[in-house]
Amino acid sequence: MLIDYLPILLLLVFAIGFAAINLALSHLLGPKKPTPSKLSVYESGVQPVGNARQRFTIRFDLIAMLFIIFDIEVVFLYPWAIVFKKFSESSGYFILIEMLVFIGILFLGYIYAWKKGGLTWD
Amino acid sequence: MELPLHVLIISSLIKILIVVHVLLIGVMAMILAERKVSGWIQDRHGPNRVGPWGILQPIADGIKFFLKEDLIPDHVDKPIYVLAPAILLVPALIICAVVPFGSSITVAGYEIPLQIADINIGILYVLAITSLGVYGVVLGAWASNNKYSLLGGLRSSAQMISYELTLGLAIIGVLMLSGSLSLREIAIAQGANIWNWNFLIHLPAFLAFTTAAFAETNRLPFDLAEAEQELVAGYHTEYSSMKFAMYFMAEYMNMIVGSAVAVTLFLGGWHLFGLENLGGPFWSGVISIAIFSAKTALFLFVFIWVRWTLPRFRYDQLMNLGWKFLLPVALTSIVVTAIVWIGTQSKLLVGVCNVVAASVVVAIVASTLAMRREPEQIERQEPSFMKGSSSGRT
Amino acid sequence: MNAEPILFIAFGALALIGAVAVIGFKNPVYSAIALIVTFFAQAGLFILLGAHFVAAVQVIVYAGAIMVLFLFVIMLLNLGSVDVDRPKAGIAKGAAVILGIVFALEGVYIAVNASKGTAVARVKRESAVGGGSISAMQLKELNKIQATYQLTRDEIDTEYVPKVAAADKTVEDLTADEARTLIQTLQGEMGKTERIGTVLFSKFLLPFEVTSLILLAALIGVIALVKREEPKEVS
Repeated sequence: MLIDYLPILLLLVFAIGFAAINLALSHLLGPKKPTPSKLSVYESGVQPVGNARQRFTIRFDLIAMLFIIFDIEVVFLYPWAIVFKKFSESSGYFILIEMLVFIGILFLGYIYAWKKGGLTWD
Repeated sequence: MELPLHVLIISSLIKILIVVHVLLIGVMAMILAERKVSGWIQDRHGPNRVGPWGILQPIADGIKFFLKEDLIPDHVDKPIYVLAPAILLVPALIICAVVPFGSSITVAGYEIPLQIADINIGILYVLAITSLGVYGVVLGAWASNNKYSLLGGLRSSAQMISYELTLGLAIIGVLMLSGSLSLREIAIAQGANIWNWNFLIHLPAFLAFTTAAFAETNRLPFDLAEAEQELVAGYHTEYSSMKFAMYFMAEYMNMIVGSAVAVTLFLGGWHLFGLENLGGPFWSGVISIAIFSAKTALFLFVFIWVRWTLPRFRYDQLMNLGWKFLLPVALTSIVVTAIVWIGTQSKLLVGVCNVVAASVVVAIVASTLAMRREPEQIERQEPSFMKGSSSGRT
Repeated sequence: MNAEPILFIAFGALALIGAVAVIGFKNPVYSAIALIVTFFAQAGLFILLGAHFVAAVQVIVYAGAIMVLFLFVIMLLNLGSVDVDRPKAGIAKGAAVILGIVFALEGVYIAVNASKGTAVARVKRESAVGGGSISAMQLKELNKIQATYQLTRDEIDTEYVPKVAAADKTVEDLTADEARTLIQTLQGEMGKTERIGTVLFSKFLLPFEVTSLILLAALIGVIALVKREEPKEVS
């Protein structure tokens, strides 16, 4: 029901307001005495070397891509989990087999990723 | 029972005010408790100067944060730098909307459920909002334009998404046997009988969920994002004053709400041996809140306890634990729960088989990893932060 | 008081602003944030449609997973400081404007015609004519819902009819107004996770299983792309 979401909307407004007030208050209350060294990059007190935004290892992207694939798998498991009890009473192991085929195929992929070293951070 | 609209709005506003304040006070209490318990574990006093036994310490800290210089360094991307703490804090605040912190309370003839919003996708809402926590971290890190921040942010976000899978999988066993996504119905399904609580039926899933919750909140032993010795403070290195405090608050709020969700899903919610039914329609509500808070506090104590018990993981160990141990354990738990439930309809057997199956999986994975470890890999021990460094792919 | 149109306009406007901002910003990180805002507004629209599960999935998968990858890729390629080449003038710009106008006209055409053609609109128009009992059109619509969501007529009679009319009525006894409310109730109810599960694991079982193959292909693709075998050095 739509009305169930009303309190969430109220809470969202409240949360955004709270965050904004925090940011504004500290901006208003705090002293402002900027110096060049305060405003420079913190690099353990030594002169900063080069730019921080450089290319980094592709492993982070690998993790993100694997995450998307398994996340979609998990999303399919929710409706299955909800109807599991109802279906198991009427059709027994059939509901399990439906999901085992799905999980099984993805498990092959998981094993493949593991064997190829996709899950190893080396 | 439907409440009239004005009662709904007024009661919601009151509940929101109370819950948000409890959360904020909870954060303060956690900061103090963290330092006090740390002191106790390390055989020292902890804060004891501000107020009796130092209980006013968090208030002093809060005032200090407000009065510190609100520094915006020159090299940052200003709009995102300012927004990032808010992007982390807002989700942390709104997750609590669907957590039932008690049964229900009757005031002025209206039976008001002790929960801000009981929506029929409750636990999915929690997961959806949790998955947004990554942005505060990764955007703050990127906007800071600092090497420590960027490395910390990347590590942290990769860690958070890896463990989100476990978080999502671990709850599926619970959903299967309660047949609902609503947190209130999951709590009611467990009831007062401790043998029906999900942590006994789904013990491996509960442990996986707890581990993932630690990782999601970047707590020790998973605090590689802010490993002080290597990365100064990780993604919030360049943040100061209230913006830093907002990161801090969000982290503690996530801990509190995470514990509350764990209590609801696995530890019977507000139930405790039928104590929650004592008293009239008003007092039973109050008692149920007290029970729920006590359980959450107990869970939070474990957070602090673990911090001083386990050393920090190395990054490859962290990824191994998430992808190679917890993921298969959580998947196995789902399959075993399904098989045993259809076969026997016995929760006891489901619980026993889950533990046995999880032990077998852990043994198989551990032996596979032990066999495949080559001697050269053990010798080569670079510090792990070099591995994710900006020097490009290796 | 009906807040639905206001919320629809608010979320719709937010989605459009976000979408325009995605192509408007020069910095790709800003574009990514604008896209997240659009996804959120879409989730809000899904909730208005009663599709709660889809709304949650929208946030979990699109805002929570796919956009993280986008951000990683943007950061990996270090696009933050690069100015994207834009067509300055000439043929490209002219073509873009013309195509944009055509596309906008198409959108208007669809929007105008959609409100005439759909079954919901037809049912609404018919029942707006006035009282009387349930019409043939409404019965047809009900049968369609019944078939799509694997409901039985008994279930509708016992579970949903009492919500809109006297408990002892069956579908055939309803008045046109009651039938219209029933159809709306059912359409709202069908977005629930439980219904999606029921349909997904019976009627749409094959597409569901095929999805796993698609995901497997994606998984193998990812590994093949990232874990390319390094050419072995001969020593």
